[in-house]
Amino acid sequence: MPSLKAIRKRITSVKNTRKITRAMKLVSTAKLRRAQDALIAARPYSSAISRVVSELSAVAGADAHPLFEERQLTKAGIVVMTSDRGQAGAFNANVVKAVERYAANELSAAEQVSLRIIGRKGNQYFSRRRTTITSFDAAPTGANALELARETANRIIDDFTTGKVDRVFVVYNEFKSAMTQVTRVRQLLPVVPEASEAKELVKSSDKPVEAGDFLYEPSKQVLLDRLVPLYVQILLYRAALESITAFFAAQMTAMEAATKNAGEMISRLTLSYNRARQAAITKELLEIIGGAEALKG
Amino acid sequence: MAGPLAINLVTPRGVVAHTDAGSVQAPGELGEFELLPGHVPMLTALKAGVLTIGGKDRYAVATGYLRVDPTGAVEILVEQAMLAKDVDTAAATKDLQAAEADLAKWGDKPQDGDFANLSARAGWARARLDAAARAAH
Repeated sequence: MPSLKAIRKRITSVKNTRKITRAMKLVSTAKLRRAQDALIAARPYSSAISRVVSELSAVAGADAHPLFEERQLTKAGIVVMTSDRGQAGAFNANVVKAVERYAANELSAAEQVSLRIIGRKGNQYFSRRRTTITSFDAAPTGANALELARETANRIIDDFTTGKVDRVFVVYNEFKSAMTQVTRVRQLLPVVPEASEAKELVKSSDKPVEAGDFLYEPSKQVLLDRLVPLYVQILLYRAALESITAFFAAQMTAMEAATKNAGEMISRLTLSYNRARQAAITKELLEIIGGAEALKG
Repeated sequence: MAGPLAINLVTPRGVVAHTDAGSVQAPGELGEFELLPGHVPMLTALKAGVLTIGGKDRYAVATGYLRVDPTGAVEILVEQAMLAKDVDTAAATKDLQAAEADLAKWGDKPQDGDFANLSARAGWARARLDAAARAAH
C-alpha cells in the first residue's frame, strides 16, 4: 500500500491537472463560438459564388475551362487539414486515417499520391512515413484562414494545370455539432460545380438564367478564369473554418471528459487515502491497547 | 426610371454592405466603370482596386465579380474589402514593398501558384493604398 504522503501528493497533482483541463475546456468553448460565427459569415459568399460558377459553366459548357477537365487518374494530390496541437481526442487521428484509407482504396489506381499538409500534427505523422509531402503549412487560425486558403488554392491550381496532379482532394473534419465531428473527403479539382447548394440563401434572383439574358464582360472564358480559382479558394476556406470549429469542439469534449476523469480519480484517491489513514489509526490503537494489556499482566 | 440599386457587397468574412444607392463605381477587368440603375443583367470580373458605392462609401477591394441580376439587384463578391478610412497605409506600403521585392526577384522562373499569390498580395496592397489616397482628396 502506498504511503499516506504519496497518496496526498498524488491527489494534489490530479487536482492541478483538473484545474488545467477545466480552464482549457472554457477556453475552447469561447473559441468555438467565435469559429462558428466565422463559419456562418462565410455562407452568403460561398453560396453566391457556387451559384455563379455553376450558372457560368452551364452557359459556357462543361468543358469550357481547363479546371473542369476530367483526366485519367495517375497522380493524385490531397490537402490534409489537421491542427497544430493535440488534446482534442481523435481529431487528428481521424483525418490521418481517412487520408490513408482513401489513398489505399479509392485512389489505388493512382501511381502517386502527394500530400499538401496543413497543421503540424499531420506533418509529424506523415513525415515519418514513406509519403510524398509537397508542402507544409501551420494550421489556420481565424485570422489567416482566408490567406492560407488563397495560397493553397493557387498552388493546387498550378499543380493541376501543369499536370503534376490529375485530381486533388481535401480531407478535413467537418463540424456537425459540439459533440460530433465527421471526417470528410472532398474533391477540389477538377471542379465539379455543385448545383444543389446554389439554391440556398439566394434572395436576389430565383429565376433560372438563360444564355441570352446576360452581358458577360470581358467574356465567359475570362470570367471563368477569374472565378473558378475564387471558387476553389472558398471551398478550401470553408474546409479550414470547418476544421477550426471542429477542433475546438473536439477539444472541448476531450477536456470535459478529462475533467470528469480527474474528478473520479480524485474521489478514488481520497477514498484510499482515508482508508490508509484509518488503518494507521487502528494500528496505533491496537499497539497502545496491546501495550496496556502487557503492563497489567 | 428604375429605382435605386440594391447593393450587396459580400466577402468570405461576411456581408460588408447591404444598401440602396444611386450608383456604383467599380474596378472592372477592362477598366473602371460606373453602374447606374436600369442596367441590363451583367456579370463582370473585378480586379483589385477601389469600389465606390453611392459616390461616398469608398472601399478597397480585392478580386471578385459584380453581377447585376434581372431584377436589378447588384451583387458584388470580392475576396476582401476594407473601408478606405480603415486602411493602414503604413502596413499596406510595407506589404506592397515586400511583395514587389519578391516579384522583382522572380525573374525568368515559371509563373506558378506562388507567383499568383505574390501578385494577389501586391494587388491588394495597391488597392488599399489607392483607396486611402482617393479618400484623402
